[in-house]
Amino acid sequence: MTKKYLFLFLMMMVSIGFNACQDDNDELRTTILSLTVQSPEEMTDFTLSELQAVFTERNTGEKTLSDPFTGTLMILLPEGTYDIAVQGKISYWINGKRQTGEVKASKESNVVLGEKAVLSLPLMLVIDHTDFLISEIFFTGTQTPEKKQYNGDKYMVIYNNSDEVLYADGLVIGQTDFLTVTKHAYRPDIMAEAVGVDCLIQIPGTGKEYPVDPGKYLVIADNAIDHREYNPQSIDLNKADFEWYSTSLGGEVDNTDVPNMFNLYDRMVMHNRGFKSFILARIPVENEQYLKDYRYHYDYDFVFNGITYPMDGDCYKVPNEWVVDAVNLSVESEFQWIVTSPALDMGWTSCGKVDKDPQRYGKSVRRKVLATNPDGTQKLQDTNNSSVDFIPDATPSLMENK
Amino acid sequence: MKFRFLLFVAMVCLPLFLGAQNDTLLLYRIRNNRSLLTDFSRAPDFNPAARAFSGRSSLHQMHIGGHRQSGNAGIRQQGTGQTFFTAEAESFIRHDGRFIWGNASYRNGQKDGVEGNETSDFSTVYPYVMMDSIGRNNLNYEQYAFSGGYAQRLSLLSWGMELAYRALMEYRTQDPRPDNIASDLRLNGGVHYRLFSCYTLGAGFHLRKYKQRNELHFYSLLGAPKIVHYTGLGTDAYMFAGNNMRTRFQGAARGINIQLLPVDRYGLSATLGYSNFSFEKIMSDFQNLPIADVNEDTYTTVIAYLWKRDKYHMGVRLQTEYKDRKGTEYKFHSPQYGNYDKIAEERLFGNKTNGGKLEFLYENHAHQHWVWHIAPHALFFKMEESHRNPSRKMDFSRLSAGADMGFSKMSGRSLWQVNGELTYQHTLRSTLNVPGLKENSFAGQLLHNNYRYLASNGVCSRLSLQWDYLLKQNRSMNLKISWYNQSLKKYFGNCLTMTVGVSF
Repeated sequence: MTKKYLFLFLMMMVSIGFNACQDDNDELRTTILSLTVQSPEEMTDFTLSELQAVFTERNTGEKTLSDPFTGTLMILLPEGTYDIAVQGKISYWINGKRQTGEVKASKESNVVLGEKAVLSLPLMLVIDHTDFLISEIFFTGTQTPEKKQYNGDKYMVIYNNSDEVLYADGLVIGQTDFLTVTKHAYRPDIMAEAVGVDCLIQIPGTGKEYPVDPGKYLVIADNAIDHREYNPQSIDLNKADFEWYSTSLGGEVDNTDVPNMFNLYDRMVMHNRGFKSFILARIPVENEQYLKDYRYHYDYDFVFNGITYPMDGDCYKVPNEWVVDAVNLSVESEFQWIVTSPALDMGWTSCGKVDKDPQRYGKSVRRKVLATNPDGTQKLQDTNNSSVDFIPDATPSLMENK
Repeated sequence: MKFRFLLFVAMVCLPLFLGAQNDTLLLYRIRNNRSLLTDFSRAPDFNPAARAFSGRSSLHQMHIGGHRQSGNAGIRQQGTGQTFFTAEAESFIRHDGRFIWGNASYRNGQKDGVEGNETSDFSTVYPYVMMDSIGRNNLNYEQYAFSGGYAQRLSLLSWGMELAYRALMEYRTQDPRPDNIASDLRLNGGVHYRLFSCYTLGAGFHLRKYKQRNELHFYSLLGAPKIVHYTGLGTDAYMFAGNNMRTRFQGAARGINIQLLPVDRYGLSATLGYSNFSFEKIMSDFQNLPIADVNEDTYTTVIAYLWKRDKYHMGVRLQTEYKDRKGTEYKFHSPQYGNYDKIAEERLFGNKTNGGKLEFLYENHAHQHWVWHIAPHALFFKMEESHRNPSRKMDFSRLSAGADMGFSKMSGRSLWQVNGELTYQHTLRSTLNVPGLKENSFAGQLLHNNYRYLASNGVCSRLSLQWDYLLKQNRSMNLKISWYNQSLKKYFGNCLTMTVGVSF
C-alpha cells in the first residue's frame, strides 16, 4: 500500500516537472506605420521619386531602412519612439523649365504605438547655395601635459565652396541659444522660421574688403596667438584671419595684427562639450535695425519630479532665409534634438561620445571633401545634413599643419 | 566596520558558552557530518523542517583560511580570478527532538579580471548590469553572511524555520570606481507530517528580499568614458547610455515545495520545488525611473533512494532544474528634457537553462576506523539565451561525466580524509548568432569570449586533504587544503584553498 502511494506520488512529481517546461511564443509587438510626405510648399507640378526613410528607435538605437516609395510608405515597425529622416529626388517645372533636385524631411521623437499609426512629414527642397560654408569647428580646446583644460585655442574655418570669388564682409557667425541636449517646448516655437542665438560676431568690412577665392578659406580664432608657448599640445593661431575679442571676458588676448570680429550681440564663448550649434548668416538690414527688431523672448515649463517651474529667456533670432549654413553639434549619449530647422541642417556631428568625454580634447568636426579639382582646390560635401557631411572626432586641420 | 566585526566575533564565540558536547566521539561526529550520506536527499535545502530527519550530528566548527583562484576561465563579467580571506563558524545542535543551527561567515577579498561589468551579484541581476569599456579590472569586496534556524520534531508533526542574511560591498580605488552594496534576506519555513509508518510528507515555503545599490564614480577631472546599461547579447539601453551611473535593483522571491522523506534516512525521498524571483532595475539619476524588470521561474526536482546492506551504503539521486528567466525592457518617449514617459514595454530577453544530474553513491563502512566511497555521476546541461530586437541567440548543450572518490581513516587521535573528483565535460551543440554585433567591438569581444568558454570541452578535477586532530576536553583542530583545476580548450583555472579551524 505504501509502495503504491509512493509510486503515484513519484509519477505526479515527474509529470508536473515535465509540464513546467512550457515554451512561450508571444510575438514582438509591432505597428503598421503609414508615413505620408507632404510636398514642398508652393510646388504644384512635381514628381517625387526614390524616397527612402530611415527610422531610428531611440530606446534601442536600432535603425530600419525602408524600401523606396513615392508618396506614402506603409512599414511594419516594433513599437517605440522613432527619429525619422526621409530623402529623395524631385522633378519639377519652374518658369517653363524642368528642374531636378533633392528633397528631405526629418522629425525626432515620434511615438509609434498600437496596431496602426499615421504620421506625416513636410518635405523641404534642398537648395544649392553659392556662399561660404562652415568647413571646420574646433570647439573642444586642448589639454595641457598636466591633463588640464586649455580653452583659448578654439577656432572656426569658413570656406568658399563655390566657383567664384566671394566677399566675407558682413558675414555673421552665431551660436545657438538652445542646447541640443536639453529639449523644451519653447513658446513661441520659431524654429521653422528662425534660429535663436546667444551671440553674434561679424566679420567687419564695407563690402569688398575681404575677398576669398574659390577653394580658399578664412580662419577665425578665439585668440590669434601662438598657443604653444603656453601649452605645447596646442596650436599656433598667430596667422588667423580674424579673432573674436571681448574686454568683458578675462584671459582674452588681442593680437593687434589680426582684425577683430565685431561683437554684434554679446560675446562668443564656444561651448566646449559641443552642446550648441552654429550658423553662418548674412544680415540684410542695418545692425541697429536688427538689434531693434529681432529680439526673441521665450517661455517654457521645466518639469521636475512632477512639479512645473515656469521659465523664460531672451536672445536674438536669425531668420532661416538669412542663414547660409548651419551645423548642429551634440553628444551621442545626451542628444535630444537639433536646434535649427531641418531645412538648414537635419543632422548633427560631435566630438566625444559622452558628456565631458576626456577623449574629445584636441579634436574638431571637419566637413568631408567631395572632390578635388584639377587645380588642387577642393569641393566640400554639403547635403544640409551634418550627420553625413562632417567627420566627427577629426584631427584639427591646423594641427595637421603644425 | 568595527561594529560589524565585533558582532561577527560575538556570534562566532557564542557556541563556546553553550558548553562542549559530552559525546567523546568527536571525530566520529565530524566524519558523519562530512559524509555524502548525510543529507543525501538535500531535503533541508528546501524545507527546514527536514532537519528533524537529518542524520547530522551535533557539532560546532570555526575556521579561518584563504583562497586563491587564477587563470582565464570564467564568465568575463564575473571575473576570472579571486583572492580572499575567510572566517566562518557553524553550529548544529540536536537535543530531545529540537534542532538548532547557525552559520556566520566573513569574506574579504579581491576579484581579478572583471570585465565589462560594474554591478555586483552578476548571476542574480544579469543581463541588466552597468557596463564600462575600460577593460579588465580588479574589484575589492567584503561579504558578511548570517543564518540560523530552528526545527522541532513532535509525535506526528515537525516544523522548522530558517532565516539567512547576506550583505556584500564591492568597490574599487581607481577609476572606474563602483560603490555597490547588496543585501539579500531569505526566510524558509515548512512542516512535515508523518503520513505512514516510515515516511513523512512535507510542505515548505521560501521568501526572499533582494536589494542592490549600484553607483559608479570617476574621480578624473576630465570626465568619464561612455557607460552603457547592458540588456543582453551585445545590446544595451541606448537611450540611457552615457554618464548615467546611479542605479539600484529591488527584487523579491517566493517559492513553495513539497517533500516526501523517509523517517530514518533510508528509503525514497523526493522534493519538488517551485520558486519565482523578480526584480526591477531603477535609474536613480532619472527620479527613480524603472527601465527593465526580470521574472524568473525555477522548477527543481530531487529524487533519491538510499539503502544499506550490512555495512555498505548505497544511494542513487536524480536532480533536475529548469530555470526560465525573462527580461522586459521599457520604452520611453522624452517630450522634453528630464521627462521620460513610459509608452510601452516588451519582453525582449530570455534565458532558459535545463539540467539534470544522476549520481550513484557507494560508501563502505566495513571497518570501524576507515571508510571509503565512490560516487560516479553524469550531468546534462542546456542553455538558451535570446534577445528579440535585434534578434540574437546563443545556446549550447553539454554532457559531463565523472566520479567522486574519498577515503577517511581514523588513526589514534587523528582523522585523515582525502577526496578527489574528476569530471569530463563535452559540448554536444553550440550556436552563437548575433547579427549586427561586430566581434571586434568591446561588447562583441566579451560575448564571443564567454561563448567560447561556455562551449569548451575539457576536464575538471578536484583534490582535497583534511586532517583533524583530537585535543583535550573534546576539542579538535583541523587543517584542510583543497585544489581545483579546470582545463578546457584555451581556458584554464586553478583554485587553492587552505583553512585551519577547531571543532567541538
